[in-house]
Amino acid sequence: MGGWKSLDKSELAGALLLMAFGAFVTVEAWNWPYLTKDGPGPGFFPLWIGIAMAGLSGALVVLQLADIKRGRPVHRTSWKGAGPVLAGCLALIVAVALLKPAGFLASYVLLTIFLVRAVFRQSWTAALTVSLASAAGFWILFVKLLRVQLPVGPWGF
Amino acid sequence: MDVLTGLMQGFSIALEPMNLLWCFIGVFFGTVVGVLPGLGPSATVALLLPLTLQMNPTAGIIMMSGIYYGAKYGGSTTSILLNVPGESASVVTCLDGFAMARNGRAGPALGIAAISSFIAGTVGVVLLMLVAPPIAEFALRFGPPEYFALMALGLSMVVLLAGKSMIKALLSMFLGLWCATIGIDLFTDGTRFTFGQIELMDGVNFVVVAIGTFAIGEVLTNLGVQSSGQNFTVPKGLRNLLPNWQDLKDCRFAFLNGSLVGFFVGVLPGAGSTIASFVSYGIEKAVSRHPERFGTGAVEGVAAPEAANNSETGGALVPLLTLGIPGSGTTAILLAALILWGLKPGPLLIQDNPQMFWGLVASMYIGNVILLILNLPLVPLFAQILRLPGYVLYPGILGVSIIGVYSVDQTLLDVWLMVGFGVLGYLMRRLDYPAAPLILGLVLGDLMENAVRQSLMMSNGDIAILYSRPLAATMLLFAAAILVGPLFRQVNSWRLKAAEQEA
Amino acid sequence: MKIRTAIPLAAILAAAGMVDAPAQGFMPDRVIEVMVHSGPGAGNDVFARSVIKVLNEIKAVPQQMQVMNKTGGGGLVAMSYLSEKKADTHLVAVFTGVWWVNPMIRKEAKVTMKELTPVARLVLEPAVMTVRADSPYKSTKDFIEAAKANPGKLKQSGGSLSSRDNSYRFLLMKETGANWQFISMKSGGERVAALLGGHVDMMIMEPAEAMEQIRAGKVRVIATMMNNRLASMPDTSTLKEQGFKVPEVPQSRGFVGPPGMPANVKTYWEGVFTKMHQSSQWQGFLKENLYEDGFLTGAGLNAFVDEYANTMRGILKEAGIKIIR
Repeated sequence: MGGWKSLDKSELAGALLLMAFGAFVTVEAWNWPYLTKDGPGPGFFPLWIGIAMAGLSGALVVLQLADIKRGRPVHRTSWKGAGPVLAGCLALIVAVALLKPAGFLASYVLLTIFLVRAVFRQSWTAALTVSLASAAGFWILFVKLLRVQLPVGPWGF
Repeated sequence: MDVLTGLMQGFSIALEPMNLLWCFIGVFFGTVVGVLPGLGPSATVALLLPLTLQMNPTAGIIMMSGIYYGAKYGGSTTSILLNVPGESASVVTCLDGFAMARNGRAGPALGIAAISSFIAGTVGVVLLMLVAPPIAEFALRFGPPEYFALMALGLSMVVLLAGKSMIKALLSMFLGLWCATIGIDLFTDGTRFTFGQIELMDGVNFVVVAIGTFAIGEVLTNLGVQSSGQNFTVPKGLRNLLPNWQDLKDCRFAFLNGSLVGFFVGVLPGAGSTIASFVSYGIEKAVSRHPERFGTGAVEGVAAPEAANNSETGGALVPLLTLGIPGSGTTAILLAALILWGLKPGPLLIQDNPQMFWGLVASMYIGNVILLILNLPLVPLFAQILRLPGYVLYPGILGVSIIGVYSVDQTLLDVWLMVGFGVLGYLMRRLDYPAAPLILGLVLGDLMENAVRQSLMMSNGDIAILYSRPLAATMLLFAAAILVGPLFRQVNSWRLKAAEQEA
Repeated sequence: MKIRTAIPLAAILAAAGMVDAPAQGFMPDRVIEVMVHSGPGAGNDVFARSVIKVLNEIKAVPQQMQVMNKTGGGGLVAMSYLSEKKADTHLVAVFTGVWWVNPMIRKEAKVTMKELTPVARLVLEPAVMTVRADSPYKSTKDFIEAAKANPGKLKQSGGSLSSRDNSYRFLLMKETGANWQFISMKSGGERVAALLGGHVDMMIMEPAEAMEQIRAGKVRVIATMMNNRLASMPDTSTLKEQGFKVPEVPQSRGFVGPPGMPANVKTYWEGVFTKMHQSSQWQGFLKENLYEDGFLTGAGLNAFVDEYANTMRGILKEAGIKIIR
């Protein structure tokens, strides 16, 4: 069928993922009691949620195919700028992984330096100023004033 | 003690210099805490509990309530400026507030939020003062079937949050509903979707999802936009930094709607300010002559939820002060404080401690005025945040988000979940799935499921209990009307399109 | 030394002497964390803060004590956290009945009370059976009879299936052959609201909760679930007196330390709590909040740990709840 080719690939991927997720939820919920003597059991709602998600994602694809066939405008996903996003995301993941071993302030400073230099493409001066100044600000406001408990590294902060 | 005498006595207490000072400190602190995403009033009140125990009860409760309703003022700031909810209830303000900021109307949005909060906050106190006991009695008539109907009404709002694709909105909502099932099942003690993690046994924390989807999602999205320069145009000149008369006129109904909905939802134990904000937003959109403006920067879309989350504080104090039942997380801490002071929260609290009650009521009037005076001039100052270059702003948002999320339970898992939801938020934006229904599903799912199952237990399986009681039936009718409306419009437009094609 | 300096100095020395240093010399030298497994404002949290308040009033502890809330899994997150902090000498936690029950029924639990170091049991919380003031039931007998006449129709609001309210319900149902619904509700506020609003017929609550509602005339207590009448409610008969042979299910609160707590640290805390127990402020606190004095340390406490585990295991098993360990 011609329509399939012009389907937005990302949309299709998203719908399939949701369908798979819906199936997963349905299968898990199947193992739990559907009805108990007092009414719906723990499996009741998740089961229907899973079925709804699987069904709706299928319907989404069908409707999009119908729209394409009728020549109606369909949402085209733009992945412009995905590179910096991926870089930022990975940096964030690394920073969170470092929270326990290095403490919040150190991880935050490293994360900021990376973002300012590599993603926003600013100078080293900018990177260092922003990261250290905001880290200091956070420390004063949150740790000293508001006494929020943050992960602390081996160097005491 | 009748109202007028009580109020006069209250003002004489509230205007004492020390109490005035504590009120100011409370509302100021509250505003700061509200502005910071993640840190909510309950965490702050809990933090200050040891300090307040050293104070006399009246001053203490004045200050803590100040933090409580002050936070609702501050919560809208980052919602409007950065699409980052400062406080859980401010999620709804992000919808139109941020859109207004993108249209260069950040100032008016902030101003309307402040004015709306003031009006609703004051209405909340008036209602607390006048009708607290009868409202409390009325609220007791809300049992599980009525809660179910209210949640159904809330969920029907998804139709109004849908935007272009109803299916995507529904998928988003179901995802939220699924998130709500994570944790220990209340009725059978079984675990659902916890993947063996003890930290997930109490479910996914709402703050984690909101900050992840909105804040982290927003930052990730902006990383892709290579913005090292300014973000939005910040118009100069005070006239453009505050709402104009037309705005105020447009919001007349929103003020009323938000104040009443917020107060009443606040009175119900368990229902929170997030639900109040969603419901009042939904009502506003449903009765609007131009519903399509919502989501693109409708000023009523800011006024209604902001009003709702402010009058909710007045409402939440009703069950606390008239029955000794806390209506929300923060009021639970206030309850604890009352106990620790040796006061006995219960139906006789007001009778036994009239000074404290009236002093509190009077101080809430004063507090709302202080907050209006504090917040309005701060609008131009806050709006300048938009001037900050992206490379300063976005890492900062990441930092505050991590702090905010970690401060909830000091669990690293929460931070990881936040990142996960952030990625999800980014993907949802790319694929044009609306985020608001996800939040709606998450907030309402838990309460709704519990309400249904409790109701059916009460009726031994007879479904009629859900629609036969008058209060419940009325709300369900409203929900049906809201659902049918747009569906009707949608079917009609399909018919018209089909007719066009035939011709 | 001039006499002007001597008198204040003597006073200070005398005051210092009133804070006894324990024999083995453990003295806290930094902030002490008191971990609570519920959120701020909940029962445990208030209890911990009350204890800290009394300790401050009698100046029993020279360092600041701070409440740390670690919620999750009905206490499992707190227990897990405590078990990871073996070497921490400045950490104690408040335990309640769920610290025994939840590790029994959840496979995700990593540690039980046996591995931790219980220091002192402080209070026993009584339970009373309540109905609305305008309800037709004047005693438990009335309620049970009505339940028998209408099986499955009467309703009780309460917590989860493994909570004490349900344990009592189960024991009573077994004993009498009656049958009534249990409606789980998340928060105490909702449960009380359900009772007051007439959505449920009965609720088992703690006297402190009930007292204010009774005073306002909204609620009636129809029985005490304990072995003896409560001092605060001398006119309320016990279940035993009413003819129901139902054992007491204790709900206790106390303090526990990390696994392998050093002996001198444990002794220090036992000393602190013993002192607190003897103080008038603590006795006043017990009276105000309608707690029963359940002070227990040392060998008695260890025996209680085992006894309670066996009792609960028995009750839960009979109620049909799956026991993992």
